[in-house]
Amino acid sequence: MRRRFSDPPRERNDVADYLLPLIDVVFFLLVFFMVATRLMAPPPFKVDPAVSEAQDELFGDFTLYVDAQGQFGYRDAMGPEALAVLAGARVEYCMDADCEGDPPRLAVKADHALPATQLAALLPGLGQAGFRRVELVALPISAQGGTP
Amino acid sequence: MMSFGEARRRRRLNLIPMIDVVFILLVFFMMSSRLTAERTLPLSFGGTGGSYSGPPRLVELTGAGVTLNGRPVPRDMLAAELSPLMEKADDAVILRPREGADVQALFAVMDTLTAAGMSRLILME
Repeated sequence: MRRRFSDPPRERNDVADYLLPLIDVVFFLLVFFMVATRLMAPPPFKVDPAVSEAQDELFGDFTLYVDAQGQFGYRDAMGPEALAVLAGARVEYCMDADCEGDPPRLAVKADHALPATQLAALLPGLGQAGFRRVELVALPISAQGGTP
Repeated sequence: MMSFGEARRRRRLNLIPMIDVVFILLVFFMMSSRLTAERTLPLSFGGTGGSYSGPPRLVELTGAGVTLNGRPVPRDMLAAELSPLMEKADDAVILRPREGADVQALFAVMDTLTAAGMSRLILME
């Protein structure tokens, strides 16, 4: 008696047929994440921002990070060097953009535990770096659950 | 009679490498995205121009609470106490943090004042 061990090999277009729904879903997810993502430079260190009822969303052109000890960084530069790099980045940005009519926005992402006196002490340096519009970054209240 | 030659077999697109690439892109965008929208509060500081007029409006933040022109005020009363001192909603209010006040406390006060319509908050040392 002859026994059949396996089905005959499938036709090649069957592969495409059962992959198509998968491709649909993956493309959908890909487009979703591409649209939802705003690419940013990675932070130089971890910062846990305060929570706020503010409604304005963050669209800063530059982001300065300040940790709970008052150490601040922009991209890879830390401390006073960060302010110099920031000032340089602003000058570069202003070559293409209208900085008189629409001054660039600097977002300051400070840790919630940073003494506010240190934040205030930092601000004149930002003015010297040329920034006229500074915004403080916070998380919305709804995100509070995740932070201790 | 003209002959067009043998009918060619249609070549199928090989989907597997495309799926590999699309998956890699998907993983990249998933890892790099942060879906919680961060919020911002505009902040002015000394030397950014603008003038000050009217009676003093100095809000000091200490570890213990808030003072308005040196007088302790509960935070929920702050906007009500400040409004008689304001001529316009965009009159400057000076915020001065003291020892013991952290950024979260600063945000709490700024939220209170912003909710009351005071839009020009100046942080001073």
